[in-house]
Amino acid sequence: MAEKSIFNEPDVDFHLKLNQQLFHIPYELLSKCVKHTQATIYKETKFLHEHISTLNEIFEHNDVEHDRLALAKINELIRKIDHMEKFLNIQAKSHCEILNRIKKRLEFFHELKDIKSRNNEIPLNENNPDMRNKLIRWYQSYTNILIGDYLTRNNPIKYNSETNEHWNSGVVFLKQTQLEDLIDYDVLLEANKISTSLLNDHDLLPLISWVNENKKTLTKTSSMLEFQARLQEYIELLKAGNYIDAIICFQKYLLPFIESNFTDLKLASGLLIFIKYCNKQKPNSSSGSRLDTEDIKSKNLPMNKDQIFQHFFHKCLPRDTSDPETNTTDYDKSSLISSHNGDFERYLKLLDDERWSVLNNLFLKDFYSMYGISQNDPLLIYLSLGISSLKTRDCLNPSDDEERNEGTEITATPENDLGHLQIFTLHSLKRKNCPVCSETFKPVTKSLPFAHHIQSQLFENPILLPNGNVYDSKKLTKLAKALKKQNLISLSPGQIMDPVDMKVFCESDSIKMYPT
Amino acid sequence: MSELLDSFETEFSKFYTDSSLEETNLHKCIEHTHEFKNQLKKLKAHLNKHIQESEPETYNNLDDKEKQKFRRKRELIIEKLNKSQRQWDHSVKKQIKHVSQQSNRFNKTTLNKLKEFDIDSVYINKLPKGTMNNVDEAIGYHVLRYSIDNMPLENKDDAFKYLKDVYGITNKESTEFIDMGQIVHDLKKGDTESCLKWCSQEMDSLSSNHAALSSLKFELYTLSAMQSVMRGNPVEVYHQMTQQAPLDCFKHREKELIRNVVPLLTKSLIGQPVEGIDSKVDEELKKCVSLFIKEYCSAKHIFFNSPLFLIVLSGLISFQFFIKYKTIRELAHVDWTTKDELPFDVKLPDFLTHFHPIFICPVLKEETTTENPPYSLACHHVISKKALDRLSKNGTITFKCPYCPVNTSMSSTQKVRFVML
Repeated sequence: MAEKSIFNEPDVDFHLKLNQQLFHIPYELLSKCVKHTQATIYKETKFLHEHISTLNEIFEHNDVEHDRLALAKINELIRKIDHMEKFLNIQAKSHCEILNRIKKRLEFFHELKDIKSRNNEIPLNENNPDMRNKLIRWYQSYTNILIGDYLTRNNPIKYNSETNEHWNSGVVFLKQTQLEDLIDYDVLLEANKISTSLLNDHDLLPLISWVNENKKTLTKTSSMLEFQARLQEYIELLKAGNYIDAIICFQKYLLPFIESNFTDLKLASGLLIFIKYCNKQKPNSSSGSRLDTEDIKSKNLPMNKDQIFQHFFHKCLPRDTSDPETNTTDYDKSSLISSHNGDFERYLKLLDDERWSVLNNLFLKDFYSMYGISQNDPLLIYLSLGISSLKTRDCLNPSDDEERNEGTEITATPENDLGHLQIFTLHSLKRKNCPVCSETFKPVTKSLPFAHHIQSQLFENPILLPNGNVYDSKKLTKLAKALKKQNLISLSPGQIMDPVDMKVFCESDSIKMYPT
Repeated sequence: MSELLDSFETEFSKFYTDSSLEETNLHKCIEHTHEFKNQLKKLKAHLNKHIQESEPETYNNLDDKEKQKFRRKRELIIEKLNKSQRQWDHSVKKQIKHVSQQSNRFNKTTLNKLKEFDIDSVYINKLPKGTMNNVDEAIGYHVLRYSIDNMPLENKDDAFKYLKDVYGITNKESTEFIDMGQIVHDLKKGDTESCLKWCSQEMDSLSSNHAALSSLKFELYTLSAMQSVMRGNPVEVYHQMTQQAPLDCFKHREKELIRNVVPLLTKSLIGQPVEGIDSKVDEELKKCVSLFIKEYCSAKHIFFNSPLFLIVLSGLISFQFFIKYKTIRELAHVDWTTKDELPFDVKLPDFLTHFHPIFICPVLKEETTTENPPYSLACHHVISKKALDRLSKNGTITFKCPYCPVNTSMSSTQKVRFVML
């Protein structure tokens, strides 16, 4: 049973490849679940084996007292096994739940296969509205999955105080459209949660606990996430003026990275001095207040080399009076305060809140690649591709509005007959329904490339009106008929109206065209 | 092609131990663990009994043969204990190994085949950063258009609040859709009143499509008649058809009337049951709902198909072309040539492309634009302005049409514009 393409849409297998993340995520979850189960089983069986050996030793005494001891041991064993059974039940349940996701998704794509192959059995497939509608509906669900994905990734997780529950509009939408099994919103929500706490609350705890959970994978991909997270923790401690904890954090979490991130570590230790300097300059340094870049900048602290040197060493910066090439004795001193060391802007950069979004991007990158999730929101990718393949040279053409009285399109109100006529004719134009030209998408589509065409796509029976517009003659007559029927305008027989400039012409004045 | 899907399904079924895809090897693990537990409990009871019987007053009363038997019993308990532990150990390890192997095999044989390309790799023309609000707006429209009847709409203010809280949709956007959703709700409840009322109101407007509205009205009356038939009340049916439905609705529709409605009415009047009336009513209801939505959207001048959906569908269709181009480009080391135009042709179905005319100049093989518009020649063949300038040496000479023998001078050319109706 071969499948047929009705809209020139790709085959089912291509759809599967396009949506590999719908299968990759559950596989990752499955693999985690299985590994955990396996590890526990090995641990428990080993333990039990030892337990039985001890039991056997006890039995060897072959007296009642030891048998009583063995009885107690067996009791212990039963408790253990009971515990094990419960554990296995939980694991089997989640195992099945994950498999169920794959099952549901396979069913979803199988539905597409059914629609496409059934269509092939009926020879009149082009005109079969039933199949076409089914396919359209399937693609509407497909679009809804993309929307659910987008909303789950990007919309905030909100808290409902009445029901005491957290909710996210993506999940609400997926449940409303009964698509919740077709997407791993739990995984996306986890990323969203960590991301939100980073960006909005400047809270590192969720990120650090995620890093700890997935240390193995992260080390394997030599991710810098842990270092950056700990560096941020250190910076935040410094900002809060908590030097003791900052130093502990530095020693415990940052030092292990001395090989890979030596420059960063140097910068970090410099920051400690820098921040102390800034704090000392505070008029009344209350220990509770936090420092941030704006603060520091607004204080207009002396930031030039001379002043800082003066501050730390209580003497003037040694001057290079002679030519540096000949003056070799002073060389050491001047290198000490090389221009690089005096660049205090880089400390400000460390303190900047911008770092949170850098950290967030790093996290998302690691998180997404771990689950095989695309880095960009799939919806946006589809939109970019779709817009470019739809966008014609005629799109976003401002000349349309100029031809009519300025602004009538938007403000045209059915106050009078002319208004009605304008509305009616305007909406008979196909371009009014172009998605690329819609008000919503206009700003999005503006900068994207046009589609490439190698063939004209025009219409049947093209006729040229004296004003230079070319229409499908049959449709123009049909429009004239509809206008007359609705009593919008009185046209004599043989008269037609141009819906763009609303001028009336005689049909006999039109010329048949031969565009190729 | 769906070979991949087929093999996928086959490989997936191996996760299960039964054909109805419910039991896995982990369930076997549980079973065996449970058995082991029961076995242990039994052995514990035996041992307990044995200990009790080992009390000297009982034990000493036994003769030698019985004593031997008694000892043998104890040995048996120990033996069984060891044996069942070994069995359980072997079984759970085997099962979990199986589970783990299956999951690995699934990854290797199936998932790896899916990894042919990375969807990020074709996202070359990024959507402008500042336009994410527009994307949200488009999502809002899509949700309103297709999912409004899944929402709680009983109270208009609550509906406004709900849409705003959940989807960030403003009242201005949602007003028209809430009205639409409420009428759809009514229809689904079997109440055609509100929909008929809407039709009548729309009919009063000059710019509405009267023909379409009257055919919607006809379907609505048909629906309520069918619903009465379903309720098995011929008097009600008669009353509806003669009193409530205005006659002009049935004008010019005799054929449909005879084919769809009359048989039902007749059967109902003579008291015969109508076969499959439920599904017929359901079908008619769906027809009414989709007709109504179509008319509603056209009356309010709102998109019948959400722009987001049309764009996503086009994106999906064009995906294969983008991937193919990417592969070729990597092989041939050529780069994306033009910035403002895609380097390849995407064939989209007519209903996605019929919004704008596309004219390719037959001389230059280039698409005409506002800067290079199409011009009609004396013979009414059409070429682009650039081609015209070239052929006429900037309007200085008359030239022969590239398609026919007719000569054209600059004065007989005319700028034209194609418009799709």
